[in-house]
Amino acid sequence: MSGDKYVIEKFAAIKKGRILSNGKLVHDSPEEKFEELMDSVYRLNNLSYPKFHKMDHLSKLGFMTSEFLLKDYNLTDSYSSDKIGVVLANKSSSLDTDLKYNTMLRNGIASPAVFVYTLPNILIGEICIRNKIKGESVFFISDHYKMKEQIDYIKLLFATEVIDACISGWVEFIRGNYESFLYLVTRKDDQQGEEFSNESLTKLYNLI
Amino acid sequence: MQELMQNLKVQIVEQLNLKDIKPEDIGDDQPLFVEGLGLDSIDALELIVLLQQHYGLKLAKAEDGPDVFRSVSSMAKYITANKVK
Repeated sequence: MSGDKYVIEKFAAIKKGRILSNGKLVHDSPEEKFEELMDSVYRLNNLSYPKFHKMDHLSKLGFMTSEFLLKDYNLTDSYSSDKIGVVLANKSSSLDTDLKYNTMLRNGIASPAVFVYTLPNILIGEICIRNKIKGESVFFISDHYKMKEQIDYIKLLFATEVIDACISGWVEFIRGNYESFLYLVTRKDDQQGEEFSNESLTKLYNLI
Repeated sequence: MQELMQNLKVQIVEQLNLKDIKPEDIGDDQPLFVEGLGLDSIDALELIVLLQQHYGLKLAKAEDGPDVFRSVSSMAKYITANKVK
């Protein structure tokens, strides 16, 4: 609806061994390799989610970022599950896993468990399963983070009453290099948080 | 048979990335799916791959799957009965 105010309620980011949760640095170990980082954060957070270990790197990165984003916050307590959307983007799609799968094919028998991650939107599925989200979802691929386009798309979803809340951001993993930035944007006039604008989002994105 | 079951437990933990489970935690007759180890349909496909990779066996009939993959014990029996002499 026109006149509605959208706010960024929460955000989280993971990059080069650093984890940021709502502006607070909660983990800082730049020397850790990605797998070590994921394992140590899984243990430190006392997570009990065996499926995490089966995920590919992209899904682990996005899933873990969403865990920090939604820590101690049950989205479905505040919003209908089919009114919570997930809008993500990255540059390399699922290429990291695609290459792994291709190598397996060349070596003989390929793993079905690897094959299922040869699409980037599997990450969206993992976040939705974990948080019981059933709303609109999409994964965009672009050569750089097109923040303004993402904001416009999400505002369109709000304006057309498709969603009342949205997990969104950028999750990129390729050949050991990674970067994730997720935020929760909602439509609530009384909600505290950053205004959902290109300027605000850029400021938060540049914190990591 | 006992050695085969021990090997299978190690291979299952490794192939299915069951990091929270140790091979010795898996009972010989413990159900692998749903109420047992909680494996899912993708894991079932991985077990078929495991049979091929480690034992050179292809599941002849898909409908045999639930019986063959019921437990480590049932997998071991299937391997013993069907392995190439």
